[in-house]
Amino acid sequence: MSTTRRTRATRATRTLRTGLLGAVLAGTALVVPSPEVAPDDVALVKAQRSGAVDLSPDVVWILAVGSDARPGQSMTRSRGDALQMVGIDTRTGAASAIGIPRDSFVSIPGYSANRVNAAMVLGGPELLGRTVAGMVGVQPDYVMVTRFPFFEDLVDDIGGITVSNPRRFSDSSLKPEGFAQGRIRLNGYGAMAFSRIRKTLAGGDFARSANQQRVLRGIGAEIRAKADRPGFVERGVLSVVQHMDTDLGPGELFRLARAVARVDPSRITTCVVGGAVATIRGMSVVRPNLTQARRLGAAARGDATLPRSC
Amino acid sequence: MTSPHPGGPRRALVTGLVVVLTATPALVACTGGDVGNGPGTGSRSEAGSDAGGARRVRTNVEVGEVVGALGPVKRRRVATGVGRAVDRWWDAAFVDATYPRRRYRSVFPGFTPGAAQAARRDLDRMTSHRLGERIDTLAPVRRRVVVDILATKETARGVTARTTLDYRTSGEVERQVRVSARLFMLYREGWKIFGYDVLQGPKPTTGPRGDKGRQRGRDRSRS
Repeated sequence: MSTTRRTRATRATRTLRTGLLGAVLAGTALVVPSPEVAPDDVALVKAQRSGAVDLSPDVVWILAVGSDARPGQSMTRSRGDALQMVGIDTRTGAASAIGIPRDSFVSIPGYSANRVNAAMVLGGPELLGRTVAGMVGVQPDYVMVTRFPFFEDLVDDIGGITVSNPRRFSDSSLKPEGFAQGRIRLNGYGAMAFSRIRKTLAGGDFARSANQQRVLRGIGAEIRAKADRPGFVERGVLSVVQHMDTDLGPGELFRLARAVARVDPSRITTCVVGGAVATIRGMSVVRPNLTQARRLGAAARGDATLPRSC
Repeated sequence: MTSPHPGGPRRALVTGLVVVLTATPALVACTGGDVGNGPGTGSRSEAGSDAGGARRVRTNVEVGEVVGALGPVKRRRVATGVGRAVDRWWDAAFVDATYPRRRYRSVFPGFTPGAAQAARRDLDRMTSHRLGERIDTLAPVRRRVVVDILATKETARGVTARTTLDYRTSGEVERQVRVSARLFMLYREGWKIFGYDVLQGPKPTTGPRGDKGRQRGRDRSRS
């Protein structure tokens, strides 16, 4: 009896370990029985579930950029207002986001030092990617740019999101009634406002970046919850094709989306690069803590997991 | 279908063709003798996997959700190709083998290298490996594929194949098993499986009618 139990426990442990990716998608607890002892006339054999997505490299990094382009302006030649380096480990379902304050004063390859969000104006998404790579030490595999109205459409297309808001805040123009504290449901406009409001936040740009990560977390959870619905991922990809600037073809976006859909919301870790507010050349900027930024990049490079303490 | 207007047989033919293609929710019955090149077609019953009264089970392939613009003929063509790819996996991993079975090499045809590597780590879920050595026969009883298509500019860019394989075993273990999988595929000189989400376990005692209703495809084209 004890041998049987040990056998079951060993098998369960091994299956749990090797089937980690499967657990990401399973959503329900599946226990692997011992087929040797299970009588065939008793249908107590529970199902086994696994999954994988072939994406190279195993840990993929995406620089997600919210452009503040106004109507008529080029989305990819405007300032990047929201900057998040998102890593996804397709083997484990882990994901991380490193928030970059948009006013970070940094070196821009080929140009004099400037705010990081000026890099896209100077050299498009590719230069912005290299600039952020210089900060965190991780080169993004993809740079995806969207503007806020399109971002609203994207969130609406997935049916809205739920975020955990640590404290109530509002904005007289974007959200006069404010966002309540706690778990709140946001539609596309709400997600946009939640991501953009800065002036009324005590932490300013840093707190806004953290709010953007809450929105990303909400998007990830929504995708994860609905990925099994027929056509859901396909519709999401089509929405991205229509609303985002990317040099990826629809097929590769589909592959990437399938990897994103495997992200386990409980394995998402986030940090915002810290820094000190300063005035340089008459500009109000943030002097980013580049030591911290590179430490975060180094920690997450291999497994898209950030340390508990940012 | 005949034309009520003797003067317009061609138009009637075209109209009829469109009606047939659109009204029959792109139901595509393929494999077996229909599809041809699939390695399992016509050889399933010869593989010795169902020695006790082999019967050929045709794969029922349907078009499910279609996102983006893709005409009915192309949808059907995509579904046929996807069904063929799924058949190759099922035949190699489950059906076309002599049981008892110990060897599971080359059982992931049509998988990308990374997906095949992952699948080899999931042999218990992706093949008959868990039961293979303890059974004498493995007979498929149901093969069903529903193909969700992502298309742009009248070209299929990616698909999700929702698949169901039910099989029955005999020997030391007599069991009815269901393999439910979603296969993620891109077209790279044929439909290639780059990812999967698979569940293998006892076939539910309730019939497939319930999930058939849920799974039945609906063409929801968006351009």
